[in-house]
Parts: sequence; C-alpha cells; structure tokens
Amino acid sequence: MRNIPFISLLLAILYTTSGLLILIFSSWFLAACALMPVNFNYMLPAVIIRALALTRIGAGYGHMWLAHHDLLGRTTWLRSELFNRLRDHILLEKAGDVEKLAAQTEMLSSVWVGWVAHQASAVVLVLLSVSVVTYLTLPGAALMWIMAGLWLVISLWLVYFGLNKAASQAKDEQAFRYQSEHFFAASSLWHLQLNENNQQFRNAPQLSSVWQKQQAVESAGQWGLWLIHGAAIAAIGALFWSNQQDGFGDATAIIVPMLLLSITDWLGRPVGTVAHLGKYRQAAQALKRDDAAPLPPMVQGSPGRAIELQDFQAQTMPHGMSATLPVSGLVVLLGASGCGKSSLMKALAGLVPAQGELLFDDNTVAAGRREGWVYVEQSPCILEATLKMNLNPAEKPMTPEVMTQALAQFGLESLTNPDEWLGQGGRRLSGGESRRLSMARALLAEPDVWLVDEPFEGLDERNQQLVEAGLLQAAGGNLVIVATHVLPAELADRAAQIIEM
Amino acid sequence: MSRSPSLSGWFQQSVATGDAASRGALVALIFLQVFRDIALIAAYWGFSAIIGQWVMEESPASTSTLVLTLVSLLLVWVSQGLSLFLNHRFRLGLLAQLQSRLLLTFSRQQHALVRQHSAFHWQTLWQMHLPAVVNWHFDYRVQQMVAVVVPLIALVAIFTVNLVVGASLLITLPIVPLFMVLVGKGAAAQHRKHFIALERLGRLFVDRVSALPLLASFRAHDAQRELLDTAGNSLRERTMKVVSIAFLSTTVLDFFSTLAVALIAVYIGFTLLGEFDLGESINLQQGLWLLLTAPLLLSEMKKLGQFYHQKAQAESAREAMGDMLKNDDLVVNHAVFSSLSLSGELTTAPDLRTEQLNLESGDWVRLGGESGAGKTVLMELLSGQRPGLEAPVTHYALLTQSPVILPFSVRENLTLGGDFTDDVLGQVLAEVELNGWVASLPQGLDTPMGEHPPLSGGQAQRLAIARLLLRKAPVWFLDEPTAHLPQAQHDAISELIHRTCGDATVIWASHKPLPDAWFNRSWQVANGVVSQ
Repeated sequence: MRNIPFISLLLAILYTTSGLLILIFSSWFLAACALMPVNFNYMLPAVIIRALALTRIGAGYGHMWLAHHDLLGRTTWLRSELFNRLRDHILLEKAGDVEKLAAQTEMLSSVWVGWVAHQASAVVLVLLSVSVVTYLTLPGAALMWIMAGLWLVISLWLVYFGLNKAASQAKDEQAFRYQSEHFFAASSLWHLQLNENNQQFRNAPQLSSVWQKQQAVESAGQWGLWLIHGAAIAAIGALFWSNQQDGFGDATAIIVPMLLLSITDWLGRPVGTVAHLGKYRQAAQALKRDDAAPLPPMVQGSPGRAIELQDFQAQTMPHGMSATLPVSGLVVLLGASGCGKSSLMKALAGLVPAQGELLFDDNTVAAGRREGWVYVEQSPCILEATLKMNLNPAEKPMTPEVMTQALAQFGLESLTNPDEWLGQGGRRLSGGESRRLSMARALLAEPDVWLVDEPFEGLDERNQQLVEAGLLQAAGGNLVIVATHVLPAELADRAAQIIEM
Repeated sequence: MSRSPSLSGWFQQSVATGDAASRGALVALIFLQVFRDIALIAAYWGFSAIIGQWVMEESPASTSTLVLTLVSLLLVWVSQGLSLFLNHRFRLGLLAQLQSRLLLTFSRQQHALVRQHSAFHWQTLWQMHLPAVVNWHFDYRVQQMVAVVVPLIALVAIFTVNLVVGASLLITLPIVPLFMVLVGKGAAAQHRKHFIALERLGRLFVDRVSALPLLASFRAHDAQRELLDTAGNSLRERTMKVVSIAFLSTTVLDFFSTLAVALIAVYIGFTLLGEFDLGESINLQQGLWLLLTAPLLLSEMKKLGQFYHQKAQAESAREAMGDMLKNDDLVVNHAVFSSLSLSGELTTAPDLRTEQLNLESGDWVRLGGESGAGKTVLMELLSGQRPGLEAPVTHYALLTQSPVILPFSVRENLTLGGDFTDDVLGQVLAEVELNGWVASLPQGLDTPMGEHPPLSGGQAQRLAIARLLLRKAPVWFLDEPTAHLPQAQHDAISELIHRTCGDATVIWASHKPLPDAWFNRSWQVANGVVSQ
C-alpha cells in the first residue's frame, strides 16, 4: 500500500478536535465568566477560542485540499499498478467489467478521506474526552466511559455488518450484471415474450435486492447513531437527576453534559460511515482478482523459404489443416463463418494454443507469439487518442512522411492532421475508415507476416477495393494471409494461393 | 437542450406524474425535521437552565426543568427515529416504482430503444441514475426546505432572548447565502469541469485496458502506461487548481459558523463579566442557550452543502433519462392486423414522411434503401416500438441481422420461458432443417449453448427463425436477416423464409438480391421519404 497520507489525516483529526474543543471550551468560558472568580484571566480563554476557530477553518480547508490531492494521485497509482499487472495479459471480461475496474480504483483511493479520517477522529475524540473527564474527576465521568464503550461496541458491530452486507451486495450486483447483459442482448426478442405475457417481462432483472442491501448498510449506521443518541439522552437524564452536589459552583461541571448533548455532532460522521468499510474491502478484493490470462511468450525465428502446417488444429476448427505457405505474397483462407478461420489465424500468430505442428524451413518451431507477425483483428480497435498515437501506439520514432504514406496506401489521405483526436469527442471514423486505419497501423509496424481477419466484412464496394489494393501492395514483399468468407474477383486473380476451409 | 424546467419541474412532470404519494412523503419528512429542531431548541433551554442551577445557584436540577429537558430531548429522539424510518421506507418504495416505470418503457419501446446505447449504458442508468433521483428527492429536497425554515425559527427565538445577538445574526446571515451563491456558482462550474476531467481519465484507462490485445500485439504497453501516468498526474495538477476555489464554498460556511460561535461566546462571556454593556443584561442560562442555538442557523445549511453532490447526480440522471420514467396510460390495441394506410409525417429524429403508404394483410413488401436511410426506423414505427402510430401492428415477429442466441439450452432459446411442447418444438426445427443438428448435440434440446454457441451464422439464423415460427405471427419484419451470411447461405435461408412465411404479411429489407416474384409491393426509403 502506498504511503499513508499522514498530514491529511492529522489535519482531519485537528479539524474535528478543534470543532469539539471550541464548543466545550466556549461553554466552560461562559460558565467561568458567569462565576466571575477572583483573578480570572479572561483574555487568555478569549484568545484561545479565536485561535481554535482559526485552526478549525484552516485545518478544514487544508484537509480537503490535501485529501483530494492524495485521492487523485492514489487513483492514478492504483490504475498504473493494475495496468502494469495486465501487461501481456488479456482480460476475460464482459461488458462493463473494465468500467467497474475504473470505478473501483476511485472507490478504493477514497478510503482514506472517506473512512480512515473519520474513524481516526472518533478514536482521538473519545480518548481525549474520556481521559480529560477522568483526570479532572468531573461529575458524570463514569457515564462517559459507558458511552465510550457503547460507541466501541456499536462501531465494531457496524463494521462486521457492513463487511457482510457488502459481500452479499457484490454478489447480487454481479448477478444483476450477468442477467441484465443477457436481458439487453435479447432486446430484439422481447416482443415475443411480452405478447405472451400480457406486456410484462417474464424474468426481468431486478436491482431491488442490491438497493435493499445498500440501504441496509446506510440505515444501520444511522440507527447505530440513533441508539447512541438515545443512550446519551438517558445519560444526561441520569446525571441531572442523580447528581445532588458534585461539581456545583464549578465551571468545569458543564463539560460532561455538553459532551453528551452534542454527541451526534462529533460522533455523527464516524458512526455513520463506519459500516462502509465493507465496500472498500470489496473494491480492494475486486482489484486483486485475476480475471486475466497471460499471453504466450514471444519466441524467435522467422521462415526463409516456406511455412508448413501439419495437422495444425486450433480450438474451433473441425479438423486439422495441412498446407504449405510461401514467405511472401497474398494467401487467402476462404471459408464461411464458424469454420474456425479466426482461430487458425490467432493460432498462427501464437495468441492461442493449437495442436499439430508448424514448420519453418522444415524445422518445427515452438509455440508462442512471433516477432514480426501481426494479427489484424476483425473489429478494429481505435484508441481514444490522436491519429498519430493510433498509428504508432508504441511511440516508436517515426517521421510524419512515413505515416502519410501508410495512410495513403489504404486510401486514408483525408486524415491529414496527425494531432487530430479520434474517438469520443473527436473525429468519428466510419466502419470502413476504422478498418483501414488498423491496417495502416499494422503496416507501420513493419511486419514480416500479416494475419488479416475478415477485412471485407460489412464494407461497401469502395472500401473493399481500397482494402484490397492496400493489402496487395503490402503482399509485395511480405506474406499476407487473409481470412474471409467473401472473395473479391481481383483478389482471386492476384492471390498466390487460395486455401478453402 | 435547455436547462429549464428545473429539476423539481422535471420530477413533477416526467417522473411523479399522477403521484401524490411522494409529495406527501416529502411534506411528512420536512415536518418531522422542523419539529425535531424546534424540540431541540426547547431542550437547549431546559438544559441551560439546569446548568445555570448547577453553576450559579449551586443546587441540583429542579424537577420541572428536568422534566422539560428530558421530554424535549425525548421528542427530538423520537422524531429523529420516525424520520429515519419513514425516509428508508419511502426511499425503497420510490425506487421500486421507478424501476417498474423503467421496465414499462422498455416493454413499450423495446429493441428500438435498447439498440441506441450499449448494455453498459442501460446498466448504469438502472443502477446509478434511478437511486440518484431518489436520493436527491428525499435528502436534498427535504433539506432545502429545512435549511430555510429552521434558521428562521431559530432567529426569531434568538431575537426574543437577546436583541444584540439576534440583530447581529440578522445582519450577517444574509451575507452567507449571498457569498455562498457567488462562490457556489463558480464552484459548481468548476466542480463540473473536475467531474468531466475525472470521467475522461477513467475513460482513458478503460479504453487502454479494453485494448490490451492491441497493445500486446504492437508492443505498446509500456508507452501507454507512461501515457496514463502522465495524464493522471497532469489531471491532478489541473484539478487541484480548480478545486482549490471550489472548496472555498464549503469553507465559507465553516468560516461563518465557527466564527459565529466563537464571537458569540466571547461577547456573552465579556457581557457576563461586565466588560461589555450594550444595554442588555444576560445570565448564564440565556448565554448558554444562545451558544447552543446559534449554530443551528448554519448547520442546516451545511447539511444542504453535503447533499449538494446529489443534486449534481440527479442532473446527470435527468440528462440520461429524459422522459423514460413517464407514466403514460397507453392502452395497447390488440386487434388483429388487417390493413394499414399511412400518409404524411411518420417519424421525427430521423425525419421520415410519405405521400402514401399502404399495406394489406398477406402482402409481401420489398423494402429498399441505402444503409442508414431509415428502413429499420420504419419497421420500428410499424411495430409500435417507435411511438407515432395510433394502431401499430401488435402481433409480429422481428428477425434482425444478428441472431440472438442465449447461453441457455436450445429449448429455452426457442420457448423463452413460454409453454411449448417438445412435439411443437420438433416441428419447427424440422421446418428450418435443424433437427439433424439438434440430434447431434450431446443433450439434444437441453444442451446449453454457453457463451460461444456451437452454431454457424446460417444455423443461428435458422434457430432464430424457428423461434419466431413457434409464435405464428401474422406479420413478419425482416431487417437484413442474411446480411452477414455468405451467398449460399443467403439463398438457402431466403428460400426457407419464403417457404414458411408464405401466408404471412412480410416486410423484408435486404441488400442482397431476392427474386422479384416473391413480392407484390415495393417500398423505397430515400432522403427521408418512403415511397411505394
């Protein structure tokens, strides 16, 4: 865990302590002034009160500022650590899981300002009040001890309750995410069940249980505070009723009653938030979970003359494939969707395991990702970044001319500004443009072997031609393997090899 | 999009339409809080009297004062408890109500609505925005009222006890909201900027984590990690500059309330000592009571400040949801479809209109037009998923380009929870030529499809058709059903549809060629106009 924000915590404690001190000290001051004892130096308390006021205001602002600063820094650090752990891994995730990660890093970073600061303040205040009251043997000291004990018991119970409820709530949330994802995915089928069920959903996902649990944690804290408040009222009653002489005529007798009367002020926030530890723990656990699978390691080796597949079978392929591929030129893998083309491509790139053998120049090569083999996936991935970064995500040194050339090869001359922002809030590329951009990006990586997955899917005539032209140009010096279910005529003519699956 | 009506106006019109319950709940909660504070002021009076008796008269608490104090404190405690109880009850009640409204909107607009946003958007809307509205309604709105009423009552009470303190509070009090508004307006704008910046940083993180395969492929992980770190740090610097001012609005309240207590204490103390003499005498009881009551003026406003973020969240909820929670008393007409005749304006956003559009039962309509022209929108209108028609088709079957295969068993995929015998299932599977495939599955009809269903594109579409055939709908909407299929499959599936839906009314949108002989009508959508 990153270093503890000591100063921020100290300021928080100072803030709450000075708040309580102002109230207690002021009330003592009033009582003392009313008594008008001999040689009462009244200027000093007046100065102390004003000093406490300024301390409180300053500490309040300082704490807010520092806590926020820490929160932002901590969020960035947590995300950086997580991102680092995910290097060379892929997330086995569903929609919304990644966003949840972002939210959880923010949540976890706020544990210091949202929980620790309050609880630390409460501990200091309780210890301070109990010790001062005992040291001065004030009337009602015993009652303060009882209240302190009650606070401790209630807080501990609330922590326990909060931890359990948060765990249960997290499970319910997970169930909701799973259910709702399928619910929304099936929206085009709703008309069928609605018609049969009186315009009502059969098994709509519900968030009621999640909300109930969330509410339960909130209200548990508030009821705990309510109980403490009730006990304090009973204590005040007991004190006023039973005390027949202790501390009369002494200004300090006011202290315990004041502490009890204002108990919801100085214990309110801590007791109200103590049960939230559960949700922080959930966030911490979620971030540690390893829903990430490591990618195979990089292996060396590149073919000089020929690539041979022997009974090469990736996961969803119905049977193994044997073929010989050249080291340059265009090779087409033709087949309908579902026959395993993508898996084959990914297996050749070394991203997924496969059975059978792969030989370079008659030598069997180890499984793994290969240097210089680039897999261009079917759904193009456009980063939220400038055009420059999208073309060169590794930020290798690259001249603008080289980028312009790559863009031109795939008909993207219209993208002239390398600093143009793509993605949300910036320029939105069409499906065809995105596809071609991902290929320009691949080109700039200077691969030896291209593995292009369904480049023509969903493109109109013009885009298809541009992609065709670009790939054929790339096939001049390198091996370009294209998996597709649609075979444009020109490709059929110029392909070095067509393999039907 | 204009900012008016206000949030409460939006709530009144678009959310709580026709519901007196939530208004009554608000009033009850406000009343309980105000009552609690009044009882508290009374309790302070009794408390101060007893302390006066202890310190000045050196006598134990008199019975009458003690009873007054304890009864008042008890009333505070009970009203607080009642308020808590009702708040929680009302909250869950409103949440349940809003949830059912949301589901109602989903059941009306269905796929037409859902396809506009990602599943994540809807999940967020459901999970975050609904509670945001409820929290705002029961916390912020209640506190808004309380923060006005209670300080006034307290001020009046203070005036009756001590004119000097009352007058000085009266003079300084209006300055506080004025100052707060000035700082608050700036703070709100900056708070929003900060929120947007935080959101953007989160989005950047999400974007890069979603692109892990790409980063691995291009060895770009390290460079991107540096980018994230730099972005995070620069955001922190920028944000801190922004929030330094935003925090002032909270500090202003703190400043005034702390200083008020301090100055009142000093003033009363010095008056008790005789150092000050502003014409009014004061005793310990009055002084202590003033010390306890004066903070009430500002503490309720402080509580309002703590709930401020709820207002911001409710605003985002409103932007996201618009009219989705409105309770419309729409009556669905379930008459069997016979014919349809339309002219004039059809839809807005996107705009579609027609000179004349006719549809008779049993028609086969070829729907043509470029992608994005509005074919899907037209079908949504006719099926009632997009509001606009008085009598849309209610019993229909919709087949989209990407068949939906749920991870459950084949049987569940077909029945969707409905009641169909295995014989009937077998019949439709035979019609779509899938009984061989089902027989080859390890558990037949009960085989779960899982996250990666073992079906080719063509087979999935056949299963989708089987699912629709079960329902014997008189009208079929086909939205490019063979768009993702290779030519051979396109031919086979089209033939299948022609065979099984011969008697139905069919509206078919397709890019790929279909025999003209099948259709007796042709509609074209171009430039916002639908022509026959």
